[in-house]
Amino acid sequence: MSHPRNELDKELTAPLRLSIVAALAGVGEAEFSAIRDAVETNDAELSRQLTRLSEAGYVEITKTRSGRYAKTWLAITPQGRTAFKDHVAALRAITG
Amino acid sequence: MSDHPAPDLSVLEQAERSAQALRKQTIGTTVAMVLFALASSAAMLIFGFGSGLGRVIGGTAFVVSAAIALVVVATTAKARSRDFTRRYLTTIGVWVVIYTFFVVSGFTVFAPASSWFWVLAAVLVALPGVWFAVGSRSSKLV
Repeated sequence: MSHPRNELDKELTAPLRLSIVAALAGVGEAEFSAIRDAVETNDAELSRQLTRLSEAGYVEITKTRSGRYAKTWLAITPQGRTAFKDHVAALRAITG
Repeated sequence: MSDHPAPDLSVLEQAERSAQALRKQTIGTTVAMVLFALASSAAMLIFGFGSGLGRVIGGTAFVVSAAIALVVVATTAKARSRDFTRRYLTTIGVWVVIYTFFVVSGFTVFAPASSWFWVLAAVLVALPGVWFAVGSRSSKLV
């Protein structure tokens, strides 16, 4: 029988990436600044982690224009939602 | 040597805290929609139980004020609940149909409409906003 640690998602083992995906899983979409404040990080670090999550197919990044300003909206993908659920289930199995 | 850092409960707690912080950003739109529903109901009651031109102006002012507030809150929100666009457009669409039906028929076809007509209007016109608010409830971490 496989140990639950083998079910951990390698992209989500980083606490910051897990927090980003967890935050997005609870809403439909969110602005970049809202995610940054919710996970308590800075712009550069959040961008880095979002790029990795986007490349993994877990997060969708949409840039829109609002007047003179550009806004970045983030949403979890169905693949990301599944990976998140499986990862949380594995964490709970490990921690009891 | 472990190939993964040992996970602990605090990781899940941190993740849930982040999720809660972001969910709070969606509450404003829900509250604005509930207030819009209440303002619409109040407008119907003003139309029904007020008198003269004042009831039309007063009732309309209620609805327009609440509608402006709703639009401002919805467009400036930094997070949106799941399936927001479909639910928002459905809510507004159904509300327009109900509101228009009761206002037009209340002042024309059924005029002078009975008290029960306007009470029914007040209840029905609030339902789309209530439906939106109930559907905005989000769930905790899996």
